[in-house]
Amino acid sequence: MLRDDLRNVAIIAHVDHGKTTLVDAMLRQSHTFRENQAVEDRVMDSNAIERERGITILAKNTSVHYNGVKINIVDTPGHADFSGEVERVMMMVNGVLVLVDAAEGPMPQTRFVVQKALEMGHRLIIVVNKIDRPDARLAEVQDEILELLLELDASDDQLMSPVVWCSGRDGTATLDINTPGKDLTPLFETILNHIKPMEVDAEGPEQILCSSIDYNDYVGRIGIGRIERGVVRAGQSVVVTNYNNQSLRQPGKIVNLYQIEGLGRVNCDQAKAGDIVCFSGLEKINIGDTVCAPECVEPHKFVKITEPTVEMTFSVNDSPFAGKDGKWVTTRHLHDRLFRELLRDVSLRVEETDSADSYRVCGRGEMHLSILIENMRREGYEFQVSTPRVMYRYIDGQKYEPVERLIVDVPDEFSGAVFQSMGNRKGELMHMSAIGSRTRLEFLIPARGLFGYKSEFLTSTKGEGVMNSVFFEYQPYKGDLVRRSTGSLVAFETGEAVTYGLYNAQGRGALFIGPGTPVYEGMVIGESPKNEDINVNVCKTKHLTNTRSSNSDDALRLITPKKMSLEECLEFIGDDELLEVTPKNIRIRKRILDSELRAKAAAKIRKGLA
Amino acid sequence: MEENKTAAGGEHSLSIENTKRISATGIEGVQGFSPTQFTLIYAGGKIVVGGSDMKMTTFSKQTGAFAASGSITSVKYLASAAGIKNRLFK
Repeated sequence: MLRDDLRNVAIIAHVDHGKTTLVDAMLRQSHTFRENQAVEDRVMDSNAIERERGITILAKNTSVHYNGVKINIVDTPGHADFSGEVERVMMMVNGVLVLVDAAEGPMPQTRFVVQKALEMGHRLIIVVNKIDRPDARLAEVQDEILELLLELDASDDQLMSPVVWCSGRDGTATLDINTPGKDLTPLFETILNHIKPMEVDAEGPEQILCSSIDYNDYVGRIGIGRIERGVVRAGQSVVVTNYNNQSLRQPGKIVNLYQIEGLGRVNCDQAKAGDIVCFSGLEKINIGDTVCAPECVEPHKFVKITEPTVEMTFSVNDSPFAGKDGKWVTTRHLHDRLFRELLRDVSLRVEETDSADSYRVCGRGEMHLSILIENMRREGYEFQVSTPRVMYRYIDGQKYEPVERLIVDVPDEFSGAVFQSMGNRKGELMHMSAIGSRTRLEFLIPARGLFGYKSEFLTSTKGEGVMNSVFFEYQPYKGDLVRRSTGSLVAFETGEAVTYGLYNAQGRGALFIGPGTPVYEGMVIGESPKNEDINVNVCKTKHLTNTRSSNSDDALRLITPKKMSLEECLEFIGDDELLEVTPKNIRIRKRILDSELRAKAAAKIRKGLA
Repeated sequence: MEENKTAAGGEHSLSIENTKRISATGIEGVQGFSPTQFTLIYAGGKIVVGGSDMKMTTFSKQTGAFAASGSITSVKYLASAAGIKNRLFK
């Protein structure tokens, strides 16, 4: 049976190339909203962090109707760290829009995601977006896309993919760059014509591949996926199995069945092969499971998702100020929250450790884990995290480490500085080319060489550089790296920081805190230029004797403290330090708070090394 | 400057035009690039190029092609350690 009343399309693109803005425009032009309905500008980004960072983190589904055809649109994460999501979404659709910024051209994430789509034989539509940009390079970008497809061995059909020139912001599209578009009709028409309707088997026994999971307090866990075969009805009994665990046979019942209409979910009694549906009632359903008719239990193949490469230890907050800000502070809270995240995030791994208070959390990069930390923090959790470490592998007794492909676009004058940094971080130059007045450099660099490089890169390129990395492969260990050449200023008294104490401390290095900040012994309050820790007392007040008056304190000028973001703190902390995360504060602390115990431990390590 | 053919590895050649543009083939890596000096790695060892206001314009590890522009004043071939050892213990 030919489903020519339906198209399932994913939009894949690099961070900030305008993916969600284009979906907003498509929704508006297909009259999904009533005229007077107030619509926030980024319709599909419901997560607050996504709005702040302007990136899509979770793949969301929506649909529009055009000329009697329902087009299911699946928005995919734009950041390389969430690629677990992208691979799953590829299973739900049979065509993709490859969105590329008219000025930046194809970047690492575009390369990674297009490779996934090509591997699955999907038909492509190239959407060059933001053509309204003054620095748009239309001809060059089209060549760069063709070069990318050639490099990724696209088939002839894929090489001949149509190109649509769009401006998501203005809501216009055109097939010929010389004739400006009036609306998105050319884009809708190209989707209908170029992406073939699916050939489906609506008579066979039911089969749904679960590609995504959601959670709702009323109906519990919701599975999302495409019906691969048959007609599924609400209230139907089914059996759940899994391609990678074929012995799994979980009987259950589909209590509620929903189809996607616009941005919402609409209850429906039945849906047939090809439809993307949401279903509840199967409490243990998981990503990659197949829901089958009881009489024909046949698991559906599920794409292998690449392993995480970076790990951190999450533990209960045991600092002196623990429990002051957070609502959820115990190990039970931390455990439940982390294991619940596993349900929704395929790229994450959480393992218990020998200590009941800490958990080993593995993800696909620093950003992946930092967004999880930020989410938990805003939900009222309080905990501590260690510095990010890469996950090594041992093959034939030899140590291997994850290596990333890094693409850097910088103004010419800064390429030397980037080169210098790459040399120190064991990056190997693979490719270099000039793009207008900018230079594009491509390196292979160990994942641990990238820790802390983002802020250094933005500083050395005066904010004009663009940097993106994607996991490449595991390669033999490339030797030790000097991670941080600076030490920490450590408070050795608990109390409140005062101007007099800070004034003396600021002579030893850059401070992170200002007067009036509560501190505890072992808390890191600044960075010292020398590669050793310095204990300072920022709570020291001036002894008031009759020869000095109290108000001469005002003459002390303090340098503005360096406010560090969550990412900068994660980049800063050493192996002997932890990051204390609470809803209101982020504090860096030494693992061993007591300064004497810490000195003894350091001496023992030095003796051990001698 | 004449071509310097090496037996081992890809075909290596190097040419300088009016001391303003340098291009080479058979280049396996680039180390420590700066406006006054950079080091190229090729099958036979290293090539240290000195000059001023130098800027890299092209490099591809896949094809081994390299090009740079600026004012080039010196080019020095350094044989790799293996090369020296072979010559010593012939």
